Amino acid sequence: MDELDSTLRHFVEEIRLLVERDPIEGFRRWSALHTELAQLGQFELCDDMLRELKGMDLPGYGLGIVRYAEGWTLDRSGEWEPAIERYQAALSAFQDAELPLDVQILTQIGSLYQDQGHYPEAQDAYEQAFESADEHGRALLMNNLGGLCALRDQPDEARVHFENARTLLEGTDDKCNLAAVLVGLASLAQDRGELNDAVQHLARAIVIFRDLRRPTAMAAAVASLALTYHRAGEYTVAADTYRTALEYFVAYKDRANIARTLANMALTSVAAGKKDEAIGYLQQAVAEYREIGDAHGEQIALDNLRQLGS
Amino acid sequence: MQDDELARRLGPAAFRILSQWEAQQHLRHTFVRAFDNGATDAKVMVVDRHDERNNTAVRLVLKLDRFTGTDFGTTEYARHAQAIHDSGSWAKQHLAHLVDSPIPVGDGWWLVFQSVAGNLDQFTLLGNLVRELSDENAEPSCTSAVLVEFFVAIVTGVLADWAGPPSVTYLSVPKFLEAHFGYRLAEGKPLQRMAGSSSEPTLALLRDRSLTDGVELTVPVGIGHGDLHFDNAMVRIRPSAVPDDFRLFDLAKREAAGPLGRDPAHLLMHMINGALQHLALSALGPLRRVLLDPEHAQRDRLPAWLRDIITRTYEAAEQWIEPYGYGPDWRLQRPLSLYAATLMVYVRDATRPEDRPWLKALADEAAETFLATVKPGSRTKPATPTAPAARRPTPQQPRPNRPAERFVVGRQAETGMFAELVEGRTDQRLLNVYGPGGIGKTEVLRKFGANAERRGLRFGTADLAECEERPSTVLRQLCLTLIAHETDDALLDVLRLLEQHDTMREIVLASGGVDAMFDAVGAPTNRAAVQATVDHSAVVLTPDLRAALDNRFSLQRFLRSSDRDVTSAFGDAFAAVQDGAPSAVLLDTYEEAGKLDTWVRQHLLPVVPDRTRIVVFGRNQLAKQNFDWSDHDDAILSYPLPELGEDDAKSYLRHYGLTDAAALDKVYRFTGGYPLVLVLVRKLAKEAGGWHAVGEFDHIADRDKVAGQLLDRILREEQVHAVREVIEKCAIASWINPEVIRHLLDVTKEEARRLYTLVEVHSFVSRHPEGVRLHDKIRELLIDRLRFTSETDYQRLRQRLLAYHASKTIGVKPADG
Repeated sequence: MDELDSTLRHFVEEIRLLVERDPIEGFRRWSALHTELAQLGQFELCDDMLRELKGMDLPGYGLGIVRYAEGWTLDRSGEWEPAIERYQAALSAFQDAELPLDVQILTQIGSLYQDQGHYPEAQDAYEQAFESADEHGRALLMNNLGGLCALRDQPDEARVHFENARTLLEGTDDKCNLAAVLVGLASLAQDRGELNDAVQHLARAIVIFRDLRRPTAMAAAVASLALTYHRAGEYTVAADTYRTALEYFVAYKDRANIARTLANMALTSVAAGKKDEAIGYLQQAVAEYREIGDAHGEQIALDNLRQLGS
Repeated sequence: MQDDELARRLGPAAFRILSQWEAQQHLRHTFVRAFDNGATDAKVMVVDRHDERNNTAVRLVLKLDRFTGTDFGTTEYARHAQAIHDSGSWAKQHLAHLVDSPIPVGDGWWLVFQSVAGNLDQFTLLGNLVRELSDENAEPSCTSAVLVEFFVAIVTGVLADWAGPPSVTYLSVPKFLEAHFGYRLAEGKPLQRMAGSSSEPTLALLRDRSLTDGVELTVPVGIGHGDLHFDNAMVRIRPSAVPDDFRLFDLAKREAAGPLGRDPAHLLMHMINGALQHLALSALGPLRRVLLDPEHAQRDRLPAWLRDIITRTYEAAEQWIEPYGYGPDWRLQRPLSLYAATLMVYVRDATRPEDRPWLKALADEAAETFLATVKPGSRTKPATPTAPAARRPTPQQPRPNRPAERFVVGRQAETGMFAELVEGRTDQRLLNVYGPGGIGKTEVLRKFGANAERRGLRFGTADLAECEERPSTVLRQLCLTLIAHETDDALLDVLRLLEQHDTMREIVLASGGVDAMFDAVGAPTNRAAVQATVDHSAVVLTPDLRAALDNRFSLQRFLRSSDRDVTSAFGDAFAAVQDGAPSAVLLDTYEEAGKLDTWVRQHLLPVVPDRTRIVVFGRNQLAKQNFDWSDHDDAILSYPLPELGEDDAKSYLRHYGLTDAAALDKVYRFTGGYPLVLVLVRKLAKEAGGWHAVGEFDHIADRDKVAGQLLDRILREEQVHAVREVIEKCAIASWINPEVIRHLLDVTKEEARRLYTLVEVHSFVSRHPEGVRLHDKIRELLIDRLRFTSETDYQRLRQRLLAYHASKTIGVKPADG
């Protein structure tokens, strides 16, 4: 018998019993393991868990749990539009049942809008969540707002948000989100040309993610490190570092980051004078973006391909 | 009292004689359980013999049988004794042994006691296993793989170990057939009457020597059982299945120099005759073809277990004969042995009339296959229109309708509903027929199929239990059953596409998986090796597929989209061959869909043509199986299989052995024909040891209360207190295995394992990947009962179960539990 299948069956039973007893506890347990499995690239297991759950006799708010989990899975595989639909359905179900889970779900919705370049919608979602968030929730939202400001070319506002988030999180046990803030700060440092600072932030984040066994989050920090090397003109080191990140993304089936990394590797190849290699990477990136429905990423990759005359 | 039961089963005359004989011998016998299936006149049962002089006991088989001949040197007893004498150590292990002399009862009837090596409680009839596995509503006592091994072991045992090295004799075809038929050609026997009729073309091969003039067969002969069939073989299934450990009885037809091709063919045909009523219509044609050519392209249209029994028993026989140099003769004669065995089964009284046309068709095709080999161009009879190879008969050449099934004689309302559906007179395109196991969903499916065929509608069927949760297997089943004409090129193209996609997966597997084929950035690590695998493949891949093998990311995209792509191609092909005409897709055993459920909903249903109607059969309503189906409520016509009418309910009960008219009336009134209650009553009879032990019922209007009362009765019948406790307490768990028992009952590992071995054979359970599971509705009733008895106990058990599951789950742990 496959060990993972067996684990899944036990988990589904555990959730069934927990949800009957305490829906919030059940939801948190579900989210925690779902996140863990997604980090390990076990998307099929996530799907299997969902299917099993959908066959259970669930209370009304059970729909919220299912839709949230669906949104999570779609989100991680880059299918952002259906992911937002599922998150919104989860939000409605929990609100109908008067379960206080708005902050978590609105944060996810905001992140998705942000990734797709829909910045006003992202801002709205974060602000709605902010209204009912506790201190920890506010720290996470500040981190997201920092990222949003960075994307909107508002580096000073971004830095303020990131620093606030760091202050709130430094004294807590939530090292995972602290590491995420450090990655944001590194990104700002890259833009300012403060590459040594960026490397320091990223090195710390990588250690935290590694210790917490968050391989795809760690790989994302490694990819950011590769970008730092690229900006420093260290193309050979950048290419090797990207390769390391890509190995993780491939191993853990993080399709959105696979597409992103291939597209970035192409830029490093161009800078290193390897045009054919760059075209190959971009062609794969375009197909990957198209498959997951990321039109934003696909368009950028296509523009880059055109500039290479292909 | 057990003795009363023995008296009832033997009848007054035989019981009186036995009692007189017992008194003289200081012996007494008590009935333990029946061993026969009611299909023959002979009564076979297990009894305990108590020796009152020595105060000892022994368990024996008691058989009451009739001998109508005049030569008492050929009675079963005489032949049996000779067989034991001739067969040495193999007989000690595998043949039933005679105990005492036969006891004459009068009017040709004899009582015979037999013993078998080993514990009788560990054995069951091979026929019981076949019936359980071929009936989707029964709970199998072993897996299909084990059943196949039993058949192989028996064929190997009979040929290699019992017969051993063969002698050969040289026979004409009619003599070969006479050797197979033996006593069945005696004056007045049905085969003799059939052979004597010149208007019966099927037996022309036996009657008309000119057809095979000049053909002389080299025939392996030796010791043979002579009447080897699945109700003459006991196999050991408890505590676990042991394929090599079988016992044969009924040696009345045993021969010292019989044709050795007869026993395997007879065993196979007897089994197939028993399984015919449970097979999908679409499997009947392929079954004939595969019997005559085990490598036939339609072999995938048969249930895997049936296909494997045919193939493996053929292989077992060939492995035995090949070293002696008679392999080619054996293969040449196999259709002829099959022809003879088919006709022996054809004339049996117990053969269902509706199955006889199929058996006759098989005999005809077997004869033609043989003749085509020895006399190319000849025929046994005028050519009859036959369906083209690999095709379901076209509407212009309909297969004779199969009359009503054995235990569901009505269901006219359902057939009417199907008619409305396919005629487009309903608002919905999808009909969901659901109900508990054992109530005849598959029979209704067959009726729908027959109805569609009568209407000339194209219809496809897939049994999801046979599809291993793979969309490609469902699509292959649908294509094969939908193909109606030689010119259905579009569907044939889909089959080719499926083959290509399967080949791609095999290449990936043969190359060690995607990670072994490529480096991290997508370049192949050993292009030449992959190329070599591609070149050696029997299937030629298209350039696009070859290109996908050249890059990690391309290949992974191909693998991710494969199911979606072939499904889309299937939809296009289906629409093309249908050309706007109505059609139907019937999906059976949907409760086994598993991962296929999402695919069916999201990919398959959207691509079937607009005028195609879909019927989904399963134990659960679709919305209960996965609540995503609730989103399609308006498009689904949900239909719980309702109470059976009186005739149907009684047919159902008769099918499960209740034949007494008064008892039928009582049980029917009690159940009201309600499916779940009928199933529970049947289970009660099984647990109690037979219908005679069920006793009286109180009439209650509330069906759940009726079911609850039955559950109480069934649990009271459970003789081992601990087993009852396991069933009652472990009902809160979705599955039961030794670990669950240990945690919920707080017993040692060893005790938990012991209890599990008792529970896993209980009639309430079916298999689960983690152990066994209680049937859903029974579980629901037991949980209600547990909560009603003690909510505190229920909560305590729940808490234990939660802690157990949490301990088995990876990663973060719950805060408490």
